[in-house]
Amino acid sequence: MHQFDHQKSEQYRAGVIVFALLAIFTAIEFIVSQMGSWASALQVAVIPALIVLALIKSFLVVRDYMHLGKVFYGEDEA
Amino acid sequence: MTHKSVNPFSLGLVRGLIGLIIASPLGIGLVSVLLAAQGQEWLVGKFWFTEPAWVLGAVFGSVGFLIGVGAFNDWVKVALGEEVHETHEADPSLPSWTRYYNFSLDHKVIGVQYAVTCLIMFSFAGLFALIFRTELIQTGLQYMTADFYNTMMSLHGIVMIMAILLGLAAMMNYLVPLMIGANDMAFPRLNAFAFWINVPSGIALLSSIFLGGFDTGWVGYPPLSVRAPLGMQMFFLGVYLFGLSSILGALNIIATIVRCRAQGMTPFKMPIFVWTALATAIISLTATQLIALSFQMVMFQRLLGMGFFDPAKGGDVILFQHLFWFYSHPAVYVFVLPGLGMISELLPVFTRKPLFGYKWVALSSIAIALVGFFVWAHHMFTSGMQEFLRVPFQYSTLLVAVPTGVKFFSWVATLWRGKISFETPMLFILGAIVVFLTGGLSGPPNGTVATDLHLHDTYFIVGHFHATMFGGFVFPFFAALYYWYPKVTGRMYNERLGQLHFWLLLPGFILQSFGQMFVGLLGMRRRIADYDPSLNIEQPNILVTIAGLVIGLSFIIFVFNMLYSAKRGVVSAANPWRSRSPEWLLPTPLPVHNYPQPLEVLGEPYDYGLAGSTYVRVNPQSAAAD
Amino acid sequence: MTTKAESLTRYRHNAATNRLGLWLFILSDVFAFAGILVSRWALWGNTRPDLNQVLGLIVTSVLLISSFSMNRAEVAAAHGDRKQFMIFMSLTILLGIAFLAGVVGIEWQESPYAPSDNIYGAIFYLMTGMHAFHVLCGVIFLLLVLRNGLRGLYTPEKHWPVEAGAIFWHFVDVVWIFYYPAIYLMGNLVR
Repeated sequence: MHQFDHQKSEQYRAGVIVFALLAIFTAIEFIVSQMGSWASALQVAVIPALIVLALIKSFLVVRDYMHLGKVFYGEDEA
Repeated sequence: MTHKSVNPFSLGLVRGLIGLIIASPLGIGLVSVLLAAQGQEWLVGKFWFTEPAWVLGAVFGSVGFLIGVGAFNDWVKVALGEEVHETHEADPSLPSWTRYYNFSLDHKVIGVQYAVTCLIMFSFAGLFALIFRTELIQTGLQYMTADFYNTMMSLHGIVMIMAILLGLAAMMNYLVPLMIGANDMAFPRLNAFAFWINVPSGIALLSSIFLGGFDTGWVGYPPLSVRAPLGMQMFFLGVYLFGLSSILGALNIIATIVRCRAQGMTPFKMPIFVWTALATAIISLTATQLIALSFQMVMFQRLLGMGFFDPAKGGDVILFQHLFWFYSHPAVYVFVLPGLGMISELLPVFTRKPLFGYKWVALSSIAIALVGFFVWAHHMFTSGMQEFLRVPFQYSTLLVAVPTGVKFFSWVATLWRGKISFETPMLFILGAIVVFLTGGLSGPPNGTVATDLHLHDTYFIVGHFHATMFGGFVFPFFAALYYWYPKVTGRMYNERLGQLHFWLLLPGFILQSFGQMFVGLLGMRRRIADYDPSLNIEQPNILVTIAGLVIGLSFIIFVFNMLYSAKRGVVSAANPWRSRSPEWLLPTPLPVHNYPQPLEVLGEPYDYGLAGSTYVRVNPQSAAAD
Repeated sequence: MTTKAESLTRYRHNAATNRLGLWLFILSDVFAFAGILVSRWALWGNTRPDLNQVLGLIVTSVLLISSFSMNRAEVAAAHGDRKQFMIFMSLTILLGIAFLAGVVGIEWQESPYAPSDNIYGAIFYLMTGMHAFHVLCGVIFLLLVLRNGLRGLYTPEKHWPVEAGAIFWHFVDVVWIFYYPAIYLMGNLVR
């Protein structure tokens, strides 16, 4: 039972960490999008940077929230 | 035939049609009232007949049909957390034929439902073709208006495509679970839903004749499709619905193949048809979304004025063609791959030899499916798209010939020194190889930019396309229908009529296809009700029309054979083809849950003629006991 | 006892099949959303309409938080914590509704374009509309899951519907991860 509770808080914490990362990346996205107005030289980098950030965020959600791995490895299926 | 009278309301089909008749006016009325409430002035005088009203009426009608059939009953229970049985048992108080008119979960019943619906739609589409082919016997318009010609021509295309998708679904639904030793599909309810949604789809498509028709061909290019009559919307809606059926069916096939194989049925021990079904399903699952999207965008442009394809609002008509062909080219691989799998599946049976290069053939299907995603723009060489796209798409198109060539070499090598017997299914298989070869060889001239600029939109394309469809779908589908007929009905078809069917169809088709290519090379344009008398192509056009009539005659013989033999045919032996495939080891009619005991896989699937080899064993006691 | 173990094995087997089916459905749906995204690039190119940036950031945050609370609810269900499950499930649904209110209720009314004005209106309403439709479906799905959860139909061993709702909800979030920058952040402003 103790083991069980431990697992639960572990999973809660993982959820918090992923959420924090997503929030940070979203903030970076918003800041990056303003970059172009600071210096026109940075403008070419805005869209590639936003695409990379979106890919990182979606990777996090798909792996840690949607548990894509379960499709391939199952959850201790007998 | 029906000894006991059956309450018509116990038939899902009847209830569904009642649902459709009740729900459609509700949708039409709802939109009419809403529009009137907004005080639109243009509404005066056509209150009940506006386009949005009829579109929503058709949507309501489709949902009403599905409710009437009972497609949602179990899902509502699941959503409310009630128990549902894992499988349905047919109501024992009803005679067994009623299963075919009801929401049955048995994949074998659904397979037959698909096959019959396919043949019905096939007859409609063939009839449309004969109607407009007759007009082309002479130059000038003799007995139809240009609009009616266009509607017939467009409907021939799209109804034929629907029939092909239904036919594929029939083969895959009936055979895949049996071949991999599964008791049913992975999602039986979804399977039944995916079938029944085709009925409102077919009704929507055919209703377009009465709603002004449409003149775009089956491709529905804007801006023409934006200006076409109301029939256009019914066309979009019909395609949307059977596209949904195609997606859900593909999802089911993949899940079944991945999750429901018998123990020991490793990927490279699966029958080759299962591989092609998998390759087909991968394409249908993903690419179909794009045709749905492109048609949805045109629907919105018509209904809400959203200017996706309206240059005046900044839209781009080429975008439609990209979205459309991203599905519609891979779609032709959807159409032919199961047929090619059928050729590989049946050749070893009738040559009594192992299939040559099993693994290569299996993987070539996947290769065709994957390469097929990168060739779509070869339909657009003359469309005005960016010119730098032409050459890459030319090469990717020619690349398709490589995995297709793998299949051809395998077929020829399998035939080599085989003990060939020429029953009707084998004749159709050999016919398929010949016809598909002509279709394949007439392909590269359309794939290379230099020649396509001349051939684009001519009857040469029509000839090429029909050859690939007949070789890749029609001939193998007939072969499959004859081959599994004894398994489905327990009786043998009439061999003499079967041979007659083949010997009318093959020369008729070759004449038609070569005739079309011939007039195309001489400059006859496709999709146009008339042609220039100075081209001097009236005689070949007469021949093509006669060939079309011969094909129609052969189809009537086929239908007669199927109906007659179901009642009067000789009772078939248990395994008339001496096949090694597991479904032939089961009793006829097949038990409701195919395999009472799990299937045992002992050897390779196609070791015909090798002494002492077995593929699978079905536990004999339990099979006999059922 | 054996029957209980058997029933659990069967449940897990079915859940694994359902999970594959759901992911295949998502794969299919990805193509539809990707097609719309491609259309955005074909028609807007390196430009974007002048939308309310603050509102965009708010609805994005709302959806992100809802994804987090959905995860929380799923973990709670997996460990039989009914109270947490109820709280976070309700929170997810409320945030989902808030997102819909923000996009459909405010952004659609405030937007400088009508759908029929030009391609900016057309693509904007297509992208947000298609996404909002999926959010709406997700909200209905989650409401059913919440209702059945409150009636005690889910156990730590058997809670596939909760997982399914979670996967779908996160998928909707993933779509917005790509759509938010594509609508609000990328390209030069059009006047």
